[in-house]
Amino acid sequence: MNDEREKLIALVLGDLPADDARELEARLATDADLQVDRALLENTRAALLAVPCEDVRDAVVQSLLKQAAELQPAIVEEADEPAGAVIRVNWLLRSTLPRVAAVAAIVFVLGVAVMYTPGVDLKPTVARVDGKFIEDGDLVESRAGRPRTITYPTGELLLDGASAVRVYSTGKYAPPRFEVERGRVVLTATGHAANVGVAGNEVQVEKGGMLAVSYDRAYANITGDGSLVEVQRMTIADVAALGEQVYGLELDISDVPENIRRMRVTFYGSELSGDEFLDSFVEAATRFGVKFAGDRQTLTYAPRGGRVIPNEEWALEIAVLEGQARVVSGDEVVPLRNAELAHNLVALNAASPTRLEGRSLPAEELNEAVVWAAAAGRGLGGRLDDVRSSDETLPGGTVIYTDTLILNGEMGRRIFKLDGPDFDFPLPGGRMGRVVQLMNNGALFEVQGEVVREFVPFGRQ
Amino acid sequence: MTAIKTGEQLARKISEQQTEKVPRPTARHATPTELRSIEKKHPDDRTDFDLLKLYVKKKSTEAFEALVQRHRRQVYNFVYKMVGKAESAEDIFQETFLRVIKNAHTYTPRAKFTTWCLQIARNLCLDYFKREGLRQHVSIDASPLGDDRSFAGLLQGTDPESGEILISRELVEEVRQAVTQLPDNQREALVLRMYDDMPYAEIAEVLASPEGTVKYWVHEAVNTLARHLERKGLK
Repeated sequence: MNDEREKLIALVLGDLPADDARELEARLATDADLQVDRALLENTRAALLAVPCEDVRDAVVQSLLKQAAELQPAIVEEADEPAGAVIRVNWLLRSTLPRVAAVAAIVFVLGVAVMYTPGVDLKPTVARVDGKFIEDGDLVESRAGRPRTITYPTGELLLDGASAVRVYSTGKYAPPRFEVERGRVVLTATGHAANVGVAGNEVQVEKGGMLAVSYDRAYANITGDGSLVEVQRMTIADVAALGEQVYGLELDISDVPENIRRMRVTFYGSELSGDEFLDSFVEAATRFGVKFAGDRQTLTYAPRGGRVIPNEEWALEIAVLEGQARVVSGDEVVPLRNAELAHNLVALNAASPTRLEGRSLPAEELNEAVVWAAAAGRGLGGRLDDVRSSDETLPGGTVIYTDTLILNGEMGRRIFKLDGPDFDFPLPGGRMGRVVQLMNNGALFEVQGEVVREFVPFGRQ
Repeated sequence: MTAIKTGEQLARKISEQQTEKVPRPTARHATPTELRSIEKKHPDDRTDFDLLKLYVKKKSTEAFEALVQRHRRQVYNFVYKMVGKAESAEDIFQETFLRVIKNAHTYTPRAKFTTWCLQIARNLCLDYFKREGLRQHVSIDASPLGDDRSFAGLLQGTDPESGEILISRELVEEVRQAVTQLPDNQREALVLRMYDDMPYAEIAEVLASPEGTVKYWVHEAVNTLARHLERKGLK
């Protein structure tokens, strides 16, 4: 079979990579001989598929079950404990066992002594992050714009944005189990299957699988000195209360309607003063029509149009980028697979938390849904088909560059850079910014000379 | 000499430990708590491994029956398409599940139950061919319908509404027989791919062969069948 014929067969069976398929289709359009070959192969495939699947007769199954019933008890006895083992145990009791027991007792006593020695921690080491060992039950957090990677012997987990993952040991030789508490993570189970828990769901990733989890949930972390501000999906009323608690801001929000107070905002910052916190908060709430009313102590509301923004307390997306996984929630199981026509994504939110439903996103949409994963320091290789090299000389420290994600508005095509030189992106209004985080639907910019970070949604040309 | 290990040494140690083979629990290691939890599950939600645990530890014939009912079609279809005779396929089907019983306590979920079961079925098919002296010097062109028969016209065009290709019963029978004449490895790979829609990685596990080789076998099988049908006049 020559190379061309093999490619044609692969095309007909759906095994040909997309690029090769496009190339071959282009040739097929002009090559009559190739078209004849293709028709023959299509017909052969159709004839093969027309051969019905066979099922065994019920009588045969009944006969099998009858034989099984007769055979089964003996097998179970054998499985429980072979009779010969009893003799061996007696022999062991007489000879080797006392010595083994003595050694075990000494080891146990020494072990207990070490366990209770001050300063000695025997929790198993399960993985590493930033070159440091992490132990059973440790929480690993990342900050906006500062992705982190947890590595363990058979895989790795990337955290992006304000994410948190607790890492549990599952045994000396087994990969750890990860419990995603919030944020966006990508797990690559290179050498062994791995388990991820999130929002009461258990995701079992098969060996070779790559999983992306986005668990966007209400969360706030504001240090007393304002050195770190992380506000995610918190209601406007809650953020106002936090402002009072941390900065002593006395904000009057009584003019803001109750339903608007329940709207959720997200913003991040570091080294924020009280005024800067207030600016960030109001900027984030502007999209719901909230603004200052003359002074900076009263918020008011002016209705505004635009699309309705989902306001759930949390939203969860679980996507398979490579290989296979299973999402298990109570009685429901959704198998996910990165293949055409297979389910590759499960989306849940607080409004319907118990209903798991697999969805099939085309490759392009799936890539967009998890594009932020690439921000964690290493590109996802062939998976992100739209990553192209840039003509521009990229400075050291550039983590991602793709010229196919387009900003809305008049700027047109732009190259996103994380950790690149500061403030080299023109933003509306003559401002300059730098990307600090890629998100599902856009990018978060730090704006030069401003405290407020700006979210710019993705668009397409 | 210091006893403190550096980070790299520890990492290497962990990595070495990770690569050691560790025995996995089999069905016989199921604990009473685990069994109670399995029994509480809805029957449809029990995994194959759950059913094997119930069978091995609780002597549950219902669990075994559920396992058979769940996989009967896939196993039988595979065996039937391998041997091409209902009577022999039925014998092999029964023997497959009897072997499952005999080895139930040794099964570990390292492989999927289907993979394990199909491996047993496949070995029994190969034993059958050896025993019966079959598959020696058989050419795909030794068609049961005779060499003089032409397939021109057996492909009955395309349904104008659904766009599906219409296939005659004779052509289906010819293809069915032609499949049984393919070399063993090609036939196995083709059946699992075309009729079970099994991913190549899983087929590779069942056939204990590299994924690339399996893909080649499937392509080669389709090529051989296409050439055969072409010689018979199929366009």
